[in-house]
Amino acid sequence: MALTGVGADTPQFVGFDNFVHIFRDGEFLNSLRVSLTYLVFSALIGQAGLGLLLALLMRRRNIVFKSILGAIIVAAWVIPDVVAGFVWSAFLAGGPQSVLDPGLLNTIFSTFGLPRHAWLQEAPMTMVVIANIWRGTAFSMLLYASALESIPQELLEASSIDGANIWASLRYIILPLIRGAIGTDLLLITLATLSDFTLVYVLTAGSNVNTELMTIYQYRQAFQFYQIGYGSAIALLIIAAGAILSLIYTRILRVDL
Amino acid sequence: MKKPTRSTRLFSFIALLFCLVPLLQACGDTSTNGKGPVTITVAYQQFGPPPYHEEEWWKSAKTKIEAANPNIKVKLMPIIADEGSYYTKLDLMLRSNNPPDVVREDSFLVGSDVTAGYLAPMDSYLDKWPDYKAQWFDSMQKITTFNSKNYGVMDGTDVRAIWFNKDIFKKAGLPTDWQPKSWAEILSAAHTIKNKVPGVIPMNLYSGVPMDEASTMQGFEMLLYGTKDTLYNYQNSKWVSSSKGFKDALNFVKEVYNPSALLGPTNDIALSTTAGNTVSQQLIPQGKLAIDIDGSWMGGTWEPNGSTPWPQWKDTMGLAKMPTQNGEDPKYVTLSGGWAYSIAARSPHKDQAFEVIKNAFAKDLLGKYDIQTNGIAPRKDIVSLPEYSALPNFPFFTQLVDFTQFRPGFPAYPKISVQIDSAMQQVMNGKSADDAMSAFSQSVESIAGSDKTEKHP
Repeated sequence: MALTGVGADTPQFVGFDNFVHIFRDGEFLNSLRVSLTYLVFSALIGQAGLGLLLALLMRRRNIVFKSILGAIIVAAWVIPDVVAGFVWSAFLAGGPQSVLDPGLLNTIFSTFGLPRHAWLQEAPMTMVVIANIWRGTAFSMLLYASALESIPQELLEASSIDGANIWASLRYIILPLIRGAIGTDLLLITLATLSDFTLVYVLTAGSNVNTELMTIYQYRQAFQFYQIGYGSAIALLIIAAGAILSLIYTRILRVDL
Repeated sequence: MKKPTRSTRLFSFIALLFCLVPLLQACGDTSTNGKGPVTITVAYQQFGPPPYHEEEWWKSAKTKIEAANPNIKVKLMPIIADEGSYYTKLDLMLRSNNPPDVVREDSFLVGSDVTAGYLAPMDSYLDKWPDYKAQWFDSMQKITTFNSKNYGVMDGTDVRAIWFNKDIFKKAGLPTDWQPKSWAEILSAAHTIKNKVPGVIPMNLYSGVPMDEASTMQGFEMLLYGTKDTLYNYQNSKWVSSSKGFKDALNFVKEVYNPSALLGPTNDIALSTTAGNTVSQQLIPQGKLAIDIDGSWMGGTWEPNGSTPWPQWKDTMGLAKMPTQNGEDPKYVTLSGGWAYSIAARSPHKDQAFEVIKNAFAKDLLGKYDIQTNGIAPRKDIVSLPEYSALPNFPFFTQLVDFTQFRPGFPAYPKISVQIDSAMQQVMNGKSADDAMSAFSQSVESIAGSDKTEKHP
């Protein structure tokens, strides 16, 4: 189905043609690869990993430290996506020999005598991944922090009496006890990251094929090229990808959500 | 009494729905009963903060038309949406049974909507309207022509040319009445500026995927249309996926963005989606850019009510026509876009709809609109309006309309345009023009089909 052109004059029921076409469409497969890379590095490794680490580090610290660090991290989560995008593009602005004023990062680099870079043009994927980690870590951290609170102190004390080091108590006590929270967190951030659009669109507009997420590809097909049917087919696949990953998490972690 | 079961409840719900139908009908439109005045609905986009020039224009047109034709009522239907959503809404309305009669569309999308069967050919009306044949530039008649039928009347247009900063030219020892006669002369001026005026970007040519259509139209097509080759062969309806002109144009881009002797802006500017604003609001007013191949609308940015007021712009910025590759006839090249009003194919009152268009497009009404919107007039006699010719550079731009060209407005174009941007970006990143062109050629074949493409030597 299309809104303009031949397809609009004589709409036809094409059955699964759109889906068959999608899997032969190099650009879609590219966007699938980009989305999965973005998901693994920014959400699973970045947000969940860093969030857990921060939650562990903030346990039993003094209240002042906790609230200041917490406020900084949560601030990144509170601001709207579009604003976050502009903050990052201002932060990364400038480049070698550019006549424009350098952004904060390039200013810091030249203060230390390091070469400037056009960050968003030279390493777009790395930059959007870092931006998304910055943005989403707070959510995971809050979730893990509350799960950690619920672990009875006696268990940890008992294990340390039994001679368990920090890794052993993490591996055998903390992680199994917060399994439910891990499952919930992975599920929520996976779905959020797969459907992420704004942050990456503001930073690169998907202009570099290396940052063209499935959502951006779908948006372009549906609203730039007016191929509504094809765009909808891609949207269904994004949902399917999210559903499959959710099932995998619940299976691996054996949690009932 | 029995308690109502689920089925009786369902039944009464359905019965209630049926009762509501006449009520809904009562709210409907009853003006199509043949007698009395005919209402002609005019749909156009309205977005952002006022002033709304379309509205002003159509309000004065409405007063005039309704006074002269007691049988016609004009109803304005501003569609409040950004450009993308405007077309989505408009296309949905055009395929409904009660479409607006007169619609405004980007001339460039007329082709797609003709293919979709939304628009009615206007030739039988236009042939009987002497003003149209005499006053609309041939190029402005051709731009709305699709499969040799005319589907619209242009309300204004734009052209592209070379803007240059006379102060920088003076410093570089170049003439301030500069008019290059070939591509080589543009590049040599840029090289001179690079050597003599440090800290200035010698030239800007929009290029690469982030700038999207600006790269294709202000950048690549201004080059390609100045070669012997073209993008679309209208004779046999095939896309030209490979040609010498295409390669030469890519090589021009390559020279502008050659990192060892960079003439264009650095990557952080050129490959960002905000390059257009950076150029018009920062680089040019701050005197950091010498040559800019850009649109006629640039001056509007620097006027007192524009986004970056810059009082000195009229003295600082010179204009030159874009030359063809080696100065071949017609010596200069430019491209135009612009919007047109068309009649919906499903409109039941096409005669009256045309009457409305004809009256609204009278010299004084359209002229006022073009002056307010900073648009280049598609009607030759508007130039004789003193307010129009007093606008800075407008006589210059209007003279370009005579030989202007336009983009092939077919459904495949937006996708092919992205492929052109991508080929430009590849040569910017060091790929050879040959490789970039063969990648382009493959993509066009998969978009348009290999039977709809051809290669020129």
